[in-house]
Amino acid sequence: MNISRKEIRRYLGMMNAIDEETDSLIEECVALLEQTAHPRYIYVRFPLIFREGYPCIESHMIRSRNLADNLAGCREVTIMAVTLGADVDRLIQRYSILSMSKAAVLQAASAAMCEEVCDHVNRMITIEAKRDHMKTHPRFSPGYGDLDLSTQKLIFSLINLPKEIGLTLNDSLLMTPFKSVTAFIGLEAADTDSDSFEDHHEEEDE
Amino acid sequence: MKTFRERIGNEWLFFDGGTGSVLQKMGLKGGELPEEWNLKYPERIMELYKGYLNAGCDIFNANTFGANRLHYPDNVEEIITAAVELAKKARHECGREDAFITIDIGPSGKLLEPLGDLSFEDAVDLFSESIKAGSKAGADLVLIETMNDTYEAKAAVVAAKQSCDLPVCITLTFDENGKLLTGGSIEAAVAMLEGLKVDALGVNCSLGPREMLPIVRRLTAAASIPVIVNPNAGLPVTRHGMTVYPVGADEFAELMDQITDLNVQAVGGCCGTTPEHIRKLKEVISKKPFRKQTYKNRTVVSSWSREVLIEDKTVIIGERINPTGKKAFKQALRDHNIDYIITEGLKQEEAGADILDVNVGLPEIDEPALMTEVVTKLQALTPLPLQLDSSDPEALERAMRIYNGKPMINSVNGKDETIRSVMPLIAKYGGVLVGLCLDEKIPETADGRINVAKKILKAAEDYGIEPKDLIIDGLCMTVSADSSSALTTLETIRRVRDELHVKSILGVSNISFGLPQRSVVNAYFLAMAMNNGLSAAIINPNNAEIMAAYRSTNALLGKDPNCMDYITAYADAPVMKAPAAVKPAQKETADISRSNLHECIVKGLASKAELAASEALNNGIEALRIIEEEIVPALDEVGKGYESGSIFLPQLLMSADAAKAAFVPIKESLSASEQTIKGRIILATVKGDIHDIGKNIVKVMMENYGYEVIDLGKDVAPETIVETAIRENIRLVGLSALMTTTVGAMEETIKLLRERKPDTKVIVGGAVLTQEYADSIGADAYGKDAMASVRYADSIFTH
Repeated sequence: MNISRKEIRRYLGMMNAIDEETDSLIEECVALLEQTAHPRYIYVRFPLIFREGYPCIESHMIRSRNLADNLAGCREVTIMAVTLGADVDRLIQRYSILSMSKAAVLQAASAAMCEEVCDHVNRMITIEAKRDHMKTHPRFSPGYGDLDLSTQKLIFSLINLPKEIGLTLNDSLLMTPFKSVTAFIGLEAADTDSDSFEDHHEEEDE
Repeated sequence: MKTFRERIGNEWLFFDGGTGSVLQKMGLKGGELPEEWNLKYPERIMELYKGYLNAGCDIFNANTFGANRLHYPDNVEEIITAAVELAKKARHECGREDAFITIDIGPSGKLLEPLGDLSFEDAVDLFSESIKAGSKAGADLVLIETMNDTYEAKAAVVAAKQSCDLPVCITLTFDENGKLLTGGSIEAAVAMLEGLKVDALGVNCSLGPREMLPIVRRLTAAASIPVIVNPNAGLPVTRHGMTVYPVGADEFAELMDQITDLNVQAVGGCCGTTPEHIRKLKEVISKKPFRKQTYKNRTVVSSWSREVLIEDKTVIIGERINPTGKKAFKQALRDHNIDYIITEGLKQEEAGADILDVNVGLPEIDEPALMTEVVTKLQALTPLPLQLDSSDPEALERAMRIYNGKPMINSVNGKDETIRSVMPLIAKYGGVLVGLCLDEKIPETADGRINVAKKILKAAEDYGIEPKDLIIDGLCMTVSADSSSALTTLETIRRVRDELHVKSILGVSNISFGLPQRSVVNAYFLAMAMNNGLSAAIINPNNAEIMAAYRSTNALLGKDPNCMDYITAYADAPVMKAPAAVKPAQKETADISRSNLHECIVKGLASKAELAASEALNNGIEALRIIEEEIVPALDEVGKGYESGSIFLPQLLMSADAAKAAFVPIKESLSASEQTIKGRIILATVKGDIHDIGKNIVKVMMENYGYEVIDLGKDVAPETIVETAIRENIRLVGLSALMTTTVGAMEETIKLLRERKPDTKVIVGGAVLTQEYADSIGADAYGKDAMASVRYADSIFTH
């Protein structure tokens, strides 16, 4: 996995500023993070219908205009979840005590790493969708726009995330471990002229 | 009819197979709670049970896996009672009165504190409620399963032990690398669970039998109690959007045949396995000769993630978390400065400690409460096992209860009262117990000490504590007071090994008390003790001479193959100097201009800054002068650069870290009257929010600028903040929130503070805040970053 140094610098508010000490700190933190993180993910596909203009998954309606717009035209939706694991939380807490500069850079680096894992999972979903003659919509997470954080409860009831990837939801609807993402990815029937596959063989994921 | 305890470990026993996957076939929907069916569709649950009973399983699970108050706030007991009643009915109707019903306990779905928000005791309560209901309804044993966190597993076992007398079995869920989802290892989990005296332990779910082979191999290599293996029917695959488990009954039985060869005592299935899988499994396995588990004579302590084996090679126990003779540490305890204590632990870990001793006893503090707090936080941040060190049995018990692993306990001695107060704790929670060779007095001879050790061993036997869980302290007495004392100690530990055949331990540093250059004496004595078979040494791993003695002795005693540890540690190290045996020359005239502390701070070089500060002090420069002429100007330079945009957050923080490091030797040299502070500030992340990085950044900056910070942590209730502000008479409170959803809690805190302590100022910060937002919730100031917060504090306290 290639964690984007540019993203890390952006999270740190540095933009294009170059500084040798910071660069070596970033490299040190990325190495620490790569040793520590155990990224895990899961994604599950569900049928999607709309009722009163809102998306419904397994007869649960999600009252969000923005999600409805995002999923418009989709008959299926994939829910994905990603976590870097509890060890990353420990690592950042540890350095919050030992070295605040490392803690801040680790925070930024783990955010960048989490994005990287999400992109990777998103790509797999897109490839699989293509094989089924579908295209994917941009991923959309609880907390974006008017999609309420309470949507996490629905996601957690549809997929047993604590068991599958060790991801939990706390009483304030925040996920622990911290560096984690859940998202909806709409699947829309693709134009059959392009990207069509003749064979419709059995698909297996890992 | 034989009881479960008479059968487990003495004959093949068969668990049932999957529940969820069978119920899904009967129509269970995604998002639907399976236990609701106990009331809604009892006939389907009967069908599930009967399927497994007729397949021949000996143990079957009542449908209670997720039945706890988080999922069923109103009717847990009803759901569980129904599950067990149906199980009894099914057992009777199948003519299988010999079969055992489990109260099946799955994970809560919550992460425990401090990483998550479920407290250990709340977890114990939650599981206790379910287990009591199951036991009352007539279940025969408790099966705790699919646990992916040792801490939650411990909470469930403690709950089972305190709620009923039923046998307790537990199976954990590992990934293909043999790790729990929370990072724990197989061996560490076995150590903890055997200490808690479960009846059998093992592995279930997540993997198929093929993938479980290496995990089971490690399990049976570590365990002395019966091992259970309940795999899935292979790894799930997706076919046309449906999850299916690919391993059929015949293949499953074949693979389980290989698994049982690894010395497993009980088998069954998990997700995707069906009555047919269990029938086949029993057909194949019950023909095989049964083997009991073998006893492992291993002395082991563990953390959540790591086991430390105490055998031939001496292990290092870091002694620094202990107030004895340490001014700064005592002050940290009185100030409730937990981070200081944690830092002492983490530094020793980096210096090479294997285990950390934790002693927080001071006459004027609430030791049980502080011990619990320190252990909770420390064990979340270090993978090292802990040695819980206290003379207060209550402090020991509370710490042992919440400890996430199998601890070392320091200590018991030959006096009946300590035996009576401490040994039952080991019997209950598990642990390796340090036994001091003294009773009413300290025996002067090795004979006398060995006799006390024998008494302790005998008492341990009476409490059911095995000799492998005892480690005898041969007592290290000051050699300057009695020149034969070192020889007596060495003879004692040698005889502990050769005559008593148990492990030994010494608090090595005592030997040099009252002598100059203590670490020289400590280092030589450590080498001698290691040569006499010392199993564990309580030392200061931050001391380079001691660690050099340790590494050299290991190499010389053939305990460091190819001298690799030694070479790794010293290949690039500068030549070490022994202390010169003459008085050092008079200190040179103090000259601050030679110090490069300023530069070290500006460049953010923490270890060099600490060294530079120590050098300046050694050169006779006054501490206050170093602060005013070096540290403050350096911080100011960096701070201004940050404000003008020429340097960025990481650099600002590197400088802050460097200044913090420089303050360590400086603060030690300051007398109490010189320790001036600009003011005292409360910092907290508000209720509902668990993001604390921003708050921690502000904290380190404030401290460097001379403020004392009362850090209330994250997810802090408004009442706690306001009460602390009133009690401590605080003039400035800093609040942090990262989520729009938690800014409400910030506003609520400000409102309550205005009502009850109107003269206190409030500064707010966090990603979602703006000046307008801050104004709208009634804050006095908006801290757009850490420097802005410092400037605001300065405006409050210095004008």
